[in-house]
Amino acid sequence: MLHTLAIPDFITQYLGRILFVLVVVAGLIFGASDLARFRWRRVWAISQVVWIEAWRRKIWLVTPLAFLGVVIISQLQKPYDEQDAIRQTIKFCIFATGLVVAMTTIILACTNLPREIENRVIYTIATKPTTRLEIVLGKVVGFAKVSLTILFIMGTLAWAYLALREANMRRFIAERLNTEGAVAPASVATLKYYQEAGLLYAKRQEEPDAMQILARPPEESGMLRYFYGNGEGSFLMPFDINPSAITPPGASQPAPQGLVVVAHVGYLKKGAATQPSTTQPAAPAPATTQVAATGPAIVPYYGPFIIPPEQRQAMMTGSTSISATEPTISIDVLDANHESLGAAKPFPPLKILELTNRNGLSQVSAYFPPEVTALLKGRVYIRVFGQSPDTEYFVDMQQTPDPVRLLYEDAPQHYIPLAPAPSPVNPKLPAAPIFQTRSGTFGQQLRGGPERTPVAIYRFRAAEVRPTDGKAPFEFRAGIERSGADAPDAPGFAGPTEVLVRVRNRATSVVAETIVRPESNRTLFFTVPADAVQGGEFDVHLKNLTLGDYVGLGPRSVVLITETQSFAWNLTKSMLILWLMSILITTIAIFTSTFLSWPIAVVLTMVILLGHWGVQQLGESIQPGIGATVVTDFQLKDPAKARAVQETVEKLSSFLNFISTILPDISKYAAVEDIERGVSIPWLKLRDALAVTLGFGLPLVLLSYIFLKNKEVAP
Amino acid sequence: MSSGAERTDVSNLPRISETREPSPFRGGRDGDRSPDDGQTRIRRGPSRVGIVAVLIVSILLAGLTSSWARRLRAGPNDTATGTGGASSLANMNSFALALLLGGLRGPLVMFLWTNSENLKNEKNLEDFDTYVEWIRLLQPEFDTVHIFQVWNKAYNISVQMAAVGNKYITILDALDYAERVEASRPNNVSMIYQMGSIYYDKLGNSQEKEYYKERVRTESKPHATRQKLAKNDPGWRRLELDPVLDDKGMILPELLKPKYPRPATIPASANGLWVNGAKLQFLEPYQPFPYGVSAMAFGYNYHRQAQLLQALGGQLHANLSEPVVDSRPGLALKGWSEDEWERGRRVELKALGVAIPVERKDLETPTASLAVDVPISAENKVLLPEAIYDYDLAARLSRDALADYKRHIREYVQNLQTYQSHIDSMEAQAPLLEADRDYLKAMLAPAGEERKKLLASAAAGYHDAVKHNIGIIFRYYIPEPVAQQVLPPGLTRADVDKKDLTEDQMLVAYINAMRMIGQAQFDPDAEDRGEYQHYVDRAMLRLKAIGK
Repeated sequence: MLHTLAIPDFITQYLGRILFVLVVVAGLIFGASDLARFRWRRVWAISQVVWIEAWRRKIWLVTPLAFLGVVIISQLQKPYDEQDAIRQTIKFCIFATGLVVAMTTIILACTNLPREIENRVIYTIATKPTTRLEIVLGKVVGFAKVSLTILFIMGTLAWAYLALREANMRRFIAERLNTEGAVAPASVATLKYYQEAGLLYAKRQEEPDAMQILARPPEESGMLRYFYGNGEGSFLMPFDINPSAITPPGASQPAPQGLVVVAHVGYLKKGAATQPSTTQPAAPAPATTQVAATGPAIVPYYGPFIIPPEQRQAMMTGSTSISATEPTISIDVLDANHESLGAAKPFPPLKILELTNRNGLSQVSAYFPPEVTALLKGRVYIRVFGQSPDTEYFVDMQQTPDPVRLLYEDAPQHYIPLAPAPSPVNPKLPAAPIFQTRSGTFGQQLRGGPERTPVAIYRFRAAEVRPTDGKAPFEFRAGIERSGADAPDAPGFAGPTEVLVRVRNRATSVVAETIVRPESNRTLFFTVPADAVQGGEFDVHLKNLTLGDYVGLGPRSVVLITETQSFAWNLTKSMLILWLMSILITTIAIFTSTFLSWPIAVVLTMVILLGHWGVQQLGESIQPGIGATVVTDFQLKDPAKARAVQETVEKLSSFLNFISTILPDISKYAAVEDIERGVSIPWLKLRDALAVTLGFGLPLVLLSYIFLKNKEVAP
Repeated sequence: MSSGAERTDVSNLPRISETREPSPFRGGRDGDRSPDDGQTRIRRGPSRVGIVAVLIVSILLAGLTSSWARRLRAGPNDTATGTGGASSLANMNSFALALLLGGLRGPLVMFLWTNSENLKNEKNLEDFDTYVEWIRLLQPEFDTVHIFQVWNKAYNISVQMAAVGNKYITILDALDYAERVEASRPNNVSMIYQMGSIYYDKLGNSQEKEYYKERVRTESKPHATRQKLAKNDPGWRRLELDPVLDDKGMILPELLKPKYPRPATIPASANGLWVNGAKLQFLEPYQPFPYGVSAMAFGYNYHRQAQLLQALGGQLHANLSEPVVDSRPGLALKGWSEDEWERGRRVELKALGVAIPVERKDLETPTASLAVDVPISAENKVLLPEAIYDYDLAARLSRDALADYKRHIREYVQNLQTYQSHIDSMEAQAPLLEADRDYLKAMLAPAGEERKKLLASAAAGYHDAVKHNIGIIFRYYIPEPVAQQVLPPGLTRADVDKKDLTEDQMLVAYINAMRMIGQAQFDPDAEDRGEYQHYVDRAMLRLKAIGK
């Protein structure tokens, strides 16, 4: 990133930590004597003065005014339902609280020292045996107390207002539920859940370990895993690529000959037997695949690259295509963000990747050309798509646990298999293939219809289950796309999308079923009997029953609600995060005010606070290459000018990126996201906020101390 | 300036102690207080009270004068109305709001616009409605903002809903938005046009129109509201359209209550109409509505208001040209007529026990050849009056649409080419529908003189329909070379129904033309022509059934 500034990668990567250590060490060395004289009593006394001063200036009066604003804004909202009204109100409350505490802290802390120096009040402190370190710390603690007071008042007002509003909203829900036809059938279960659980809560959720979308549930297909053709179904095999490991000595790029990919896939045509007669591969798997994936091995040489015997025989006899009607697959490679890097090509003279074995697995070979392998770095996924319509494809997890193999030619005729990425569950085992469907607007599309439709499987393992009243509540949220295939006169056209939910306990085989009717991008609640989830080892199967509709699913579309905690406690955690943020603001404000007049200090404080966020917002527009884009946009023809502009812009963008790495990341103060969704704020988020506060606050306090110590503030 | 004025009155000058800066050294709670602070406060008291009193009086006076000015404003039928209005945030004037926000209204609105559009693009609508509502409150005077948001909600947001019922409710929400704007800026041509457009184009003509139209018709009838909460309750949300009819199918009196008197002069472009301020003023002539009000009817009502606000009030739509706004009442009447026509066909098919085809074009002929005395079950017979009502209304609307198209062409002659085919269609469908009405009436009438009279009237209508529809077929869907070969010399294809050709001559020409076209390899007009051929077929079959 900072290559243009000629700073080593190591320094760039750990710049923040290096600066932290340097400042702390410098502070300790420079302030050793003051540290020895440090008395907490004096710090506390100074902090009390700060707090009393703020109180005397009636800072607290800003809180009822801000809250009045919250109440007014809340009356002008247009929520989707009662829960949405509460969600929005929570957001307004926390936002207003954060704004008030941030603004008051900036104004108070930035003006405090310059004013005291200007009106010489600081004489009364500086001439006493108080050290400059104690002064700085006293100020920080004092403003922390002020912000804590503001947060306490705002938090209390917010809680009271939200409780009042929730009582009203629950009354409205009861009113609607008691009125026939007032609630759409799809919303009844959700509103009943709100009525029972309330609207102010903090739920703890258990997220699924994995999501797969298959053509058939695993219970029905043994060790076979089916996926649909017609470009709908596919599976991914993850690999971790180390470019240097696949770069032969003397070569300028990884795998200069390309990489060979071998897939073992079978198929069933529509109307054929429900199970293949055998899954024996048509061609034996290369010997290397029998070998531990960690070491190199010799692969039987089948030609310029690996070609199954059937294909070779067909080519030799002149019939290049075994059968024009054989199903085909396609193979491509995706990066860690699931963006396609390139497709695998069939070995000439073949043009397509056909499955030649009608009675079991076919071994299909292809290669990734060098221009694709040059892009492979870190986590990549090999994706195998089923292409032919009216076909179900399958892999045999018993016969070929790793149905895709990636081979690298390190010397002529010498192929080394690359190890698949380790399983996230058990790193000693290779990762299992990930089955999925086409990606749509809202995630992977679960096609709807009465038959031959895919099933989504959410896997929960070791889930913490705490059912209430013999029921386990789930939350479901998905996007819905209508294809237009359902004609307006079709039955159910006017009705909601229906999804069959089947929860299967893997330990006891207890199955619970329910039908839910989701609306696009709205949270929906449903419950199943506790038996179905007891033990925490269970799968949730989803099947879309509505023809023409696609349910867009993400990895967290189904979550189990394990526990409901007090909202007040969650609010306290949210306020705590804001308090940590206010402490950071205080340290920055005091730091800037030690060497600047207060108006400039306010501006600089804002810049430091928002700098990292601002650079993040600029995103790709300041990534390397922006210089060339600017030159193109401005249509600079003169090479000298173009080069000057390009280099300047590149350097500026590098500098911005560099600066952002040493500025605090305020996105770590995530006080709103979880609480507004009724999710218990995890301690991890508090830890992250604390880390930023300490990581930046401590060095800034020490720097403030150093600056103040060297500043003439009193005779 | 007089010398007296130059004299300095020292009694009002502040004392030196009052002007002194507070000493920071005093510290504590008294740091910024002078020793005689108590006296100062006492002295300041009356002056502050005076200022506050003046402020209050000023505000009251401003309110009174503003109210007076609004009352003095003329009605919607005069120029310079509808563009101002009492735009407010919780009854606060928008300019006061701008001041209150300290000049931050612009940045705030930009933030809201960006965020709301991002939410829409991300298909995450949780905060969308709130943002749009705030934009409405912050930009009350901007017609283009409201036009966009009404369209945005009705089209872009409704399609993001999965269930058709929720799509419908979202469209109603768009109408509510328009109603709120209308309430704060009454008689605004842009907003009223937009309401008409939502009823006519979205509810009446979108892919899901069958569902929407049925719900609008059903919910326009008296029904118990499913929403028990008051409209201003935070928990209130729209679930259905409010009823507009009473038990007898008459429009509720409050929706017909006039607010403005008839203006002294009405220009010819208004055709003797003016806006009296009643919400459903232009549906009054068509009541009762025993089977509910069509979405197209609402569309017509608002489009007529918009047209008159333009013609009488001199208002201009923010985005559309004058001819467009002026043409819409005619188009809406045509659409409404066709809606009632289709409805009548379906009811007739049901009443006569014939399976109802899916396609609109297939509705014409299945019952056409049924004799007037075909046996009908008592259960089905009760449906016939509904079909008769639909045909009657449809025929009347066709004639009204025809009149309005002619009025529009008088005003904007450049649109003659555009709407000539509409005029022809109205001329052709009115007699067909009247004939259908009379034929069904004859089915209900006992055999005798009354039935004979009705059948005679129906036959006349069908003959008329045959003539006009064959005229349309020749004018628009038969190539000129073919027309020249089948028509008598001296006649062009545009004149077939305008000259004194007998029906037999027309039919012979029509059949010959069809034969010639049937032999051609390519017939680009087949589909469009088919619609009118169905009407001819229906009329001919009915004439055969009548025996005339």
